[in-house]
Order: sequence, then C-alpha cells, then structure tokens
Amino acid sequence: MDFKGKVALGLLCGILGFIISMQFNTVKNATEGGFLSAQKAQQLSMELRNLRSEKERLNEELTGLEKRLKEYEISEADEDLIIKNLKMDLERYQLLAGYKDAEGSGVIITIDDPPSADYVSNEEGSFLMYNYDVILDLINKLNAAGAEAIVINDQRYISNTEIYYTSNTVLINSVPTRPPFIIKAIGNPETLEAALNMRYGVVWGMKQYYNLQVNIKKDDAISIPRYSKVIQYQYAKPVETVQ
Amino acid sequence: MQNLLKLFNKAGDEGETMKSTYQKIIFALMLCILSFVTILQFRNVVEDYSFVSLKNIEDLQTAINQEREGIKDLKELITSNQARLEEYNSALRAEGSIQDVLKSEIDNMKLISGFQDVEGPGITIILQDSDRELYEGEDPNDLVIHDGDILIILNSLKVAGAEAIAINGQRVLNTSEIKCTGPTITINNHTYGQPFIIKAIGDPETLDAAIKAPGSYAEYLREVYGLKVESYVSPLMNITRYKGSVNMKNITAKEGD
Amino acid sequence: MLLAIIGLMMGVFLGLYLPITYPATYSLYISVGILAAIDSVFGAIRSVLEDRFNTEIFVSGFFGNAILAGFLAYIGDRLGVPLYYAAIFAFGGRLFQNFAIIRRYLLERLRSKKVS
Repeated sequence: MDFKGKVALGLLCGILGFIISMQFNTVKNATEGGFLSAQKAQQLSMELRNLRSEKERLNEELTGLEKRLKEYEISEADEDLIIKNLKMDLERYQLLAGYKDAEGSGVIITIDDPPSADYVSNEEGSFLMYNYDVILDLINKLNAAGAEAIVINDQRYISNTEIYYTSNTVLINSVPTRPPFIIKAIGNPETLEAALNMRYGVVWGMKQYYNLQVNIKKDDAISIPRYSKVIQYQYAKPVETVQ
Repeated sequence: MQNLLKLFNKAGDEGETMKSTYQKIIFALMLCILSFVTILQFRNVVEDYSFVSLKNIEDLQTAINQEREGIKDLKELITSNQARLEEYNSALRAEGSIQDVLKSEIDNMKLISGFQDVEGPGITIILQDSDRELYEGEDPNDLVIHDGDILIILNSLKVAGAEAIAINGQRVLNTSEIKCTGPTITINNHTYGQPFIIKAIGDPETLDAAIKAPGSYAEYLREVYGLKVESYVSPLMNITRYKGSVNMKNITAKEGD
Repeated sequence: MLLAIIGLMMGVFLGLYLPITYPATYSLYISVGILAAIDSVFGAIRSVLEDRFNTEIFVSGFFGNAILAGFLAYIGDRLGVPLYYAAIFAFGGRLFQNFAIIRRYLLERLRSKKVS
C-alpha cells in the first residue's frame, strides 16, 4: 500500500475509533453508567411507576388542603360581602398569575420533530429542542391572537417562564421535557386557529423551513393545570403605588 | 432406526468417514458443551429482550426527572397551602375575619402576575438597529431588530432569573405580544420607536452574564450583525405594573376534583 | 455417531444438575453464541457427509464463531445498535443452508440404498 493509502487508512481508523468512543459515551451517559438492555428499561419503568404513585399521593394531599382553604373562604364569604368580593378578586389574580387550574375554549397544537432519519438523534438531540426559539415565536403569535393562558407539555407558561435547552432535554419552569410538544392555548378558537394557519405565518414556516410535524385542533373545553411551583421574588420588591 | 444411523456412519459403502476415534471424541465433546450451555440458558429466567433503543432509555430518564421535579414542586405547594391554612386559622381566632389574610394573598398574586410596581437591582438593555454598512450579498433585513431577537433575549433574561421585565416602560406579561416592525416595536398594543429599552429586575451579575457572555444571543447580535446592544446594571431600578386591560373572556377557573 | 449422542446427553445431564448460573444480563450474548455453535455443528455434519471433516476447522469455528457472536452482541449493547441481528442472520442463514444440504445427502443415500 502506498503512502497515501496508509495515511488514509490511519485517518479513517482514527475517525472510526473516535465515533465509536463517542457512541460509547453517549450510551453510558444516557443510561447513567449501565448499558442498554431491556432490563435497564424495566428498572427505569419501575422507578417511574413509583414516582408517579408518590406524585398521585401528594396531589391528593394538595387537593385536600385546597378544599379546606376553599371552605374557609366560602363560609366566610357567605357572611360578608366584602369577603366575597375579596375572594373574587383573589381568584381573578390567581388565574392571571397562573396559580389556578383553568379551563376554556381554545386550541391544542402538537409539534414534533421531522419524521425519523432527518437528523442524528444522538449528540445533537432533537432538532426541535435545539431550535426552541420556534416555540417562543409560536407563543408570541398566540398572544398576539389573544391567548389568555398557555401551557406547554403541562407546564403553565407564566411571565417568568423560561425555555432552556441543555444536554438533551428542554427545561420549562425547570421541569425537563422532550418533544413532542403539546401546546394548549385558551382563547377564541377561531381567532387562534386563523392566526396560526395564516399564509406564510408561523406554522407555515415551521412546516416549510424545518419540516416539523404540526397539528392544530380547536377545542371547546381545554383544561390546563396551574403553575406547579411557589414563586418567591428575591429581587423585585413591591413599591407603594402613588395614585 | 439402526439403518438411519448407519447412513451417517458410512459414506456410501466404504469405511468410516470420521476416520479416527479422536475425531469422534472431539465431535462428541463439542456436542456435550453445546447442549450443556443450551440447557443452562434454558434454566436461566429469560425475559423478553426486545431491543431497547437509546431513545427509549432517554425518554424514560426524562420522564423520571420530570416526575421528580413535579414531586418537589408539589411538596412546596403543600407547605405553602398549609401555611395559608394556618394564617386563616390564626386570623379567625385573632380578628374574627380572614379579610386581612385575603388582602395580603391578593397583593402577593398581583405582585407575581405583574400588576404591581416593583423595584430592585437589575439590568437595562438598549437595543438599536445596526448602522454599519451592508456587507457583500447581505440582506438589509439582517441589520434590523426582529421579534425573534427580542423574544430570545427575553427568554435568556428569564433563564438568568429575571423576575420582572419591561420594554420601553411596558410591563411584559406572559400574555404580552411583541411585534417588531422595522423602526418600531409594538407591545401590549403600544408602539414605540427606537431605541428599545429593556429593563429586568433580578440578580445583576447573572443578568449581565446573560447579555455579555460570549456565546449569548446578545453577543451574537452584536458581533455578527453589528446591532447596537448596550447594557448596564444598576442596584436599584423601577418597573411599573401592567397598566393595560386584561382579556378573560374565554378562561375560567377550574374547581379541583 | 453413538459417541456424539452420548456427548449430547451428558451435556444435557450436566446442565440440568450442575448448580451453575450466570447473570441474566449476559443471556442475550450466550444465546447468540449458542446459535453460532449450532451452526458450527451443522457445518460439521455436512462436512462429514461430504467427506471433508476437519477437526481443527470444526473446533476453531465452534468456539471462534460463538465468542465472536457473543462479543458482537455485547458491543452492540454498548453502542446502542442491535448488532446481534447480524449474527442471527449470518449463522441462522448458514444453519438452514447446511441443513438443506444435509437433507439432500441423506435422502440421496436413502434412495441409493433402496436401489441397491
């Protein structure tokens, strides 16, 4: 073999070795030290099941507490008009802040990556996750069309909500999630749908330039969860408004 | 049966094919090993090992992390609700009415939903279109600020922990829309000309890093397109509340199960 | 032939009564190795019928193929690609091929015996 052949062989072997070790590492990281097997999947499934049942239990506890709080408010409101008005006010701001489950008519949008092998699903992760600004754009258009509340993969989108892409997951409200992204928006279904499906609009762009799979459905009874955390501002302090 | 076995033993009518006993012993030995291992394998409890792809594992892992985070949040919510219940109880005992507790809850809700003027340390960012010359083959659109740019910068600020944000004095809520049309920006149905001034209250250092760090989106706008992105931190700044109207025509609170 | 059957039964006996186990995670690799070994055995039977039996080739193929197949399956698990399919197709295919040839030989002998 001449010199060029030897060099080419050496180089290609180097590349091959590099790719193999990268793949090893990916699998190692994904399975946290182990390697792929149905056993590992079963382990993880069991852990998931346990976590889910604990979450169920906590949810029940939370609902119980909220019921009791409500009872207080209702019983007091019955006696006092002021309390009643305060309670209505409270509910209104809770809704605006995202602290309350909500329901209403609107649209449900499902966005997923382009089908199968258009991208390497290892290091790069999903195309959609990497280009999360597509989702920011979509939210903006929904707001422009009068969306009153938005939820992404069960995370309520409030004023402080961030979308953060890191190491193969997307964090929304610090909760990890992956595509497909199911976005629910409460508002006027016709207006919302029209704004999204506008010619050369945001959904057109997603399908055209990024080949994403987008599905829009109107719905009259969308149910969205409350913002899941407790917010405590550390830097912003209220200022007495000068009326 | 015997004949069948004889078929194996002879090639045609001549002598043995497996000439030596040695060969026969080796063959037998191999068969022994093979059957041994096979039986062992049978005895092993074998579950279904359909191939598990990397994506499955990753999805499971993400789902697990998601549940963990959800559980953490639930615990905090439970604690805060328990605290409120306590407050109601003590308010009833002390004053006979939960008015004050309700009022403070309302103030808290107003604060976190953007209906309260706030002050605190933070960062001010001033954005302006680039005024450098177009490069060869460059699209004039590239030297102008777009909605997407503002959206990404706002998101970066939120990732960096911004608690309250305003653009040209307009409080930015989760329902605020941003439309950048050339030299103007429309937010909360108010239109402003350049320069666009973004204020955010939070930890000044983290916010500053979000705008100045190499690899940040703001840096990218500055370096690649020459857009004017200036920023400075201050120990105390003021952001007013959202003053517009609120549309709540389609949304209603959902009572718990 | 008789010796071979004795060997087989001894292996079964040992397997049933010896208290040896190995971790279930390896079961896939062992399975693929077994497939490769069975293919070797069929190949040996065929070569016996063709009068070409070679001990060295048989033994080296037996262990070599089994180890290679198991190793391939293991690497496949670590790389996240089902490489064991390769072993299944290769050895499985050859196995059936050899079996077909063995059948042909046996049937031919049966026919020639009947004639004679």
